This record gives sequence, structure tokens and C-alpha cells, in this order.
Amino acid sequence: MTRFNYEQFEQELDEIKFSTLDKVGQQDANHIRRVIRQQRFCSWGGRILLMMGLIHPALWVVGIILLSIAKILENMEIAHNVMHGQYDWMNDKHINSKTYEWDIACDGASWNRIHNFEHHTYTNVIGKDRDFGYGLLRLSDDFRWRVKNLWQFITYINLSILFQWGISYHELAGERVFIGKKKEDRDQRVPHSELKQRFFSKGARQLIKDYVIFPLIAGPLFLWVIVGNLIANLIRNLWTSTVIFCGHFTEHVHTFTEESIVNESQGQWYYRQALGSSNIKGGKLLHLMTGHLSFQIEHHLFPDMPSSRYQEIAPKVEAVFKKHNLHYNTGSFGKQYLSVVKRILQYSLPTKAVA
Amino acid sequence: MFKEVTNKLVSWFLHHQSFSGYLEPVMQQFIPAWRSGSFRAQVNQVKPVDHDYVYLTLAPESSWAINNISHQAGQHIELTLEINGRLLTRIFTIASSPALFKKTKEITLLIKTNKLGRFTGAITQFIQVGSWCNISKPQGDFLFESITQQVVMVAGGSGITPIISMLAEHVEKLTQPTYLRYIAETGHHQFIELLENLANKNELFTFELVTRAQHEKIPLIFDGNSSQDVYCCGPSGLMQSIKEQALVGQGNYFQEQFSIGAIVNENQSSFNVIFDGENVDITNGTTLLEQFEQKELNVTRGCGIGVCHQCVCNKKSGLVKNLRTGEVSDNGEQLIQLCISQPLSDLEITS
Ligand code: FES
Repeated sequence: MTRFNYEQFEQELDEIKFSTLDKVGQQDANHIRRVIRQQRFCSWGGRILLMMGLIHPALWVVGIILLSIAKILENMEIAHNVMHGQYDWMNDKHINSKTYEWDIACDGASWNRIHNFEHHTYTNVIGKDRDFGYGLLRLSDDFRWRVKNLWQFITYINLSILFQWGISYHELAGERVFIGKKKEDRDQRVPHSELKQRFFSKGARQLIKDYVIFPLIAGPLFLWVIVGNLIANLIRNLWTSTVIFCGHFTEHVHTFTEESIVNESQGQWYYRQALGSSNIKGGKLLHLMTGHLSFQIEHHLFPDMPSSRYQEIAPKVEAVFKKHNLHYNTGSFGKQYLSVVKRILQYSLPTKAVA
Repeated sequence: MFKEVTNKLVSWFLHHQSFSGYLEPVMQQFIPAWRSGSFRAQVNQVKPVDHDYVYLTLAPESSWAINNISHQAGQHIELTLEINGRLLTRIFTIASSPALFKKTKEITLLIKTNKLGRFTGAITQFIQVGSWCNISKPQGDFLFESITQQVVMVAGGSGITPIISMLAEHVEKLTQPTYLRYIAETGHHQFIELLENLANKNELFTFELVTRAQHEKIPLIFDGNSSQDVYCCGPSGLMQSIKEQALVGQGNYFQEQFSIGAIVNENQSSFNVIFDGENVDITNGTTLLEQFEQKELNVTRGCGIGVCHQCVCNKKSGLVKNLRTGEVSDNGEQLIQLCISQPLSDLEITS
């Protein structure tokens, strides 16, 4: 087999990146502002309709759907991408990675630190990227099998249901902050006490908002609103978790060792990103609702390119992969999801999976 | 008090610094350029003239000038334009007088454009009559306080703007000889007609249009006994020399550092950075992040290779080169990633 040509691979991807970044401008600014507007309208509409349940229960149902959409748009297309710095070039006081805080239980700054730094830099490097399996699931043979892995599918379902809390706990490295597990090579940039305080204060505010303030505003319809908000949060959790698992834990996603990334070149970094993610095929609406994480491959190659450009560059990236004989991991939602389920189940068992 | 409480609630539950920030993109749909913490102004005229000058006439929204009082002659504003999706801000002196504003409800800026400038180079292309932009409240204390004094004024290049505003506002009230020397390249002088009109209004006011060479040949004479007030606005070299001469006399000296931004100087390799108010010396040898860490400043390092945006800081002014894209920034305010920024000039940065 011929050696993989990292240099050329790097050049070709760089070429896609720079020629696209050159084009970034008004169109992309309009895109993110438009999505923010849509998010606001869904959110306001949803919150109002939740209080109309007595007029007709269908209104309440529509309210739940709108509120779920609002939460998903905010988390996926707006917050995730803005916090990646994709829109920093706009110089907008409210739309940038430095000030943006998202509408989810997880504290933005803590998430930023782990996700943007650890996960995106050390993608799928076992021992460095804690997002691989979230410390709960065994998703490759790099991890020793434990008895708890037998029922990890149920763990996975639970994680999905409580996804925002799981992320929140996980991203502040909960097991270290709360339980005191130590990891030597990781220096402690932010004191534990501050992480804890951020975890609780952000989490509490989110709970108060959805389960105290809005229900109180609804007065006699208190319960309708509580239940509505609960369902909307659940839908958001299930959806985001599913999208993220489809992007990272399908069958063919590779893992890497810490040694393999010492002195890694940009080309090798691209290579690792390329094999560490998978895409979902679909229409414009699907892409929007996944925050363009249906282009997980493109996102991992160019994490701070505006998401509004992923769709446009995907065919070019795919062509480069083809040329280098790399598997461009993409498929329909159903196919990718099945593949995730398979992977979770496969690694529940102690036997070494046959690759 | 009320505002503080709402802002707290908004930041707790809507995760924005202010309610207006949360609403902004929605409001902009109905009211163009609606931006929290900034005033709107409509572009009434964009007039390019010879030698890369552009006159920009703006009609600010009514709340900008409370009780019809706009600015004081000599003050400047921050002008923010959305240029191809980017909000770019620059400082310009208002060249028109407050008296004129009372009549027309307009202000005029004189902008020296630079084809390579991301802001000034794009003005005529991106700004259409009728479109909206943002301006700040007027700022600055380069004001005219010498109606009953003999005055010498020196303007260099677009440094004429505050001075023309002062003259237009005060010329009729002058009681002592007031002389303006306006230095620019041959044929590049602006506002000539206006200056002639002003000179006709009050014969105590005289002016001369000179080139740099002429200026250097004909000395401005300030002797130790004179009590002339001196006003100067122009490039820093000019202001420095006028200041030295003026301080010999007994009058007062006033100057305005008009913002000619930093330019890349190939020969210079060490710079001064103001980081959160603290002065530090740096070189262009390595990235800002590395040097700040060495100096033990409070910065955040993440990946160190420009991926994670953990190290983002706000550059208030100065030039940096983005080592990932090779792009050289412009002078204005913008967010930069310290780990891939090489300093190219003096800088002001906040964390
Ligand atoms: S440290 Fe990661 S972008 Fe600068």
C-alpha cells in the first residue's frame, strides 16, 4: 500500500478552507441573524401557545413543538456555532464566542473549554478527548470492558434523556470536581470551586426559568406549562444527543492513541479529524436543525468556518477524500443511527470486536 | 436601578447583557441598523471628491441630539458601518458646525479614503444614500475657547476637520486676529470655498493654504512675549514641532491627535502593548499568547494552534497578523486569537 500523502491532503483541504473563508461576508451574517430571528419567534410563539391549552389542547401541542424547535435552533445552529467563533469576524457585540452564553444547563465557558479545546484539538485521541464515550460508554476496544458495559445501551438512553445535564456535568469534568478523581497531566486552569459554582448557578437558573417563572406567569395553567416545558426539554435532549452520537460514534469512526499525535502535522491533524466523524445526508431543514452537524466531517476539519458554508464545501471535501481513498462516512439518518446503536451494543460485550 | 434589575434578569434567564441585545436581530428586521448602545444615522449624501476624499453627510436619529444640541465644534464620533457583514468602527471628527446642525439636522464628516483600507476603501462601494449606519455620542475635548484671544491655528491634511467646525461655529464672534495655516499637498486642500466665506464674514479671520515645503520655509513666529493661543491638528510630527514652538509664548496650546492609525513599519520589531491597562513590551518575534504567558499576564491558552478560540481577546487598536491566514488586520476594534496573532504595531488589548 502506498503511503498516505498527508502533504497533498493538507494542501487540498487548505485550498478549500481559504477560498471559502474569502467568500464569507454579508450572506453569512444575514444567515445567523435570520436564524436568531426564527429562534425568537418560535420561542415566543411556543411560550404563548403553551398557555392556550384550555382553549384547545392542540394549541398546547403546537406550543411544545415550537418551543422544542426554538431550543434546538438555539443550542445547535446558534450557540454551538457562535461559541466556536464561527461568527467572530462580524464584530457583533452579541454574536461572538467571547460573550455568547447558551440556553442550556451547561455553563458556556466550561463547555467551551472542554469542547472547543479538548474535543476539537484531540478528537478521538483516547485519553485526551473525554467526549469519546463521555466516560460512560465503551465505544472501542481501547477501553477495558467492565460489567456495567453490559447494560450500556440503557445508560445511553438515560444519557440521551438527560443530555443537557450529562453534558453539563461532564464538561466541567464532573468526576474530577465532585468525586475527586485525579488526572495528572491535565493542569488545573480553573479552580474546582469556580467550576462547581458555575455548574450550580447555571443549572439552577435554567430550572427556575422553565419550571418556576414561566409556570407562574401562566397562573392557573401552571401545570400545563410545567409539563410543556418538560416535554420540550426532553425533545431537545433526545434530538441533540442523537445528532451528536450520529456524528461521532457510528461504526467506522476511528480512534487514535496519544503517541500517534506527537508532532502531528496539519495534514495528519486533518486526517484524524476526517476519520473521527460522520455525516448525515438530508435536506436543508435537517441541516439547520442539526446546527449543520450533519456535516460533522466538515465541522471537524474547519471548526471555525461559518456553518452556513458547510453545505457548499461538502462535495469538494468528499472529492478530496475520494482522491486519497479515504472513506467519507455519510449516510441517511436511519442508517447512521442504526450504526450507532450497533456500535453501542457491540462494545457492550467483552469480546474483541472484529473490525 | 430598574435598568440594573432588568439587565440582571436578562443575563440570568435570556443570557444576554441587555434586553436590547437579545432583541437586536429581530428589531433590525423592522428598523435597520438598530443596535443596542448606539445611535442610528441615515446617510443623506456620499460625495467623493478629488484626491480620495469623501464627504459623508448623516442625519442622526432625533435622540442623538437632545434639545437640538448636537456636538461641540471640534468633537468627533465613532462611526460604525456594516461592510460585507462586518461591523467596522472608526473615529471621525465632525466637520460641520453645531449651528448648521440646528438648521439642517445633519452632520458632515470628511473622510480620507485609502484604497487598501478595509473601512475607508469600502465606503463608496458599500454606503448608499438612504442606508443606515451607527454613530456614538460626540466625544473629545479639543474645543475652541479663545474668542477673545489672538489665535494661530495649524491644520495638516484631514486635521482640518475639527478646525473648520470650530471656525464655522465661532468666526462671527471673534474679537481678535485669528490666523489659520492649512498644510496639504498642492490641490488637496478641502473646504476652500467655506474658508473664503468665513474670511468674508469676519475680517479678523485670515487663512493661508500652503504645502509642506512652504510651511517649512515660512516659519510661524511665536515670540516669548506674545500671548497667542495655538490650536493644532494633524500628523504627530507636525503637532510635536508646533507644540514646541507654541510653548515658548504665553498663550495656551491645544491639540487633537487625529486618528491616523498605525502603519506597518518593517524596521520596527518591538512594540508597546496596553493589556487591560497595563503596559508591556513585546516583539514581533512570536505570537502574542506566548509573550503574554511569559510575562505572566492573565490569558487563557487552549489548543495554541488557532482552533479553539479560548484565547480570544478584544483588540482595541493596532495591527496584528493572523498567522493562520496571513491576513493583516486593520486598526479598528476586533476580536483576535492571541495564539495566532503576531504583533505588527503598538496595540491596545482587553481580555
Ligand atoms: S488557544 Fe486555541 S485558538 Fe488560541
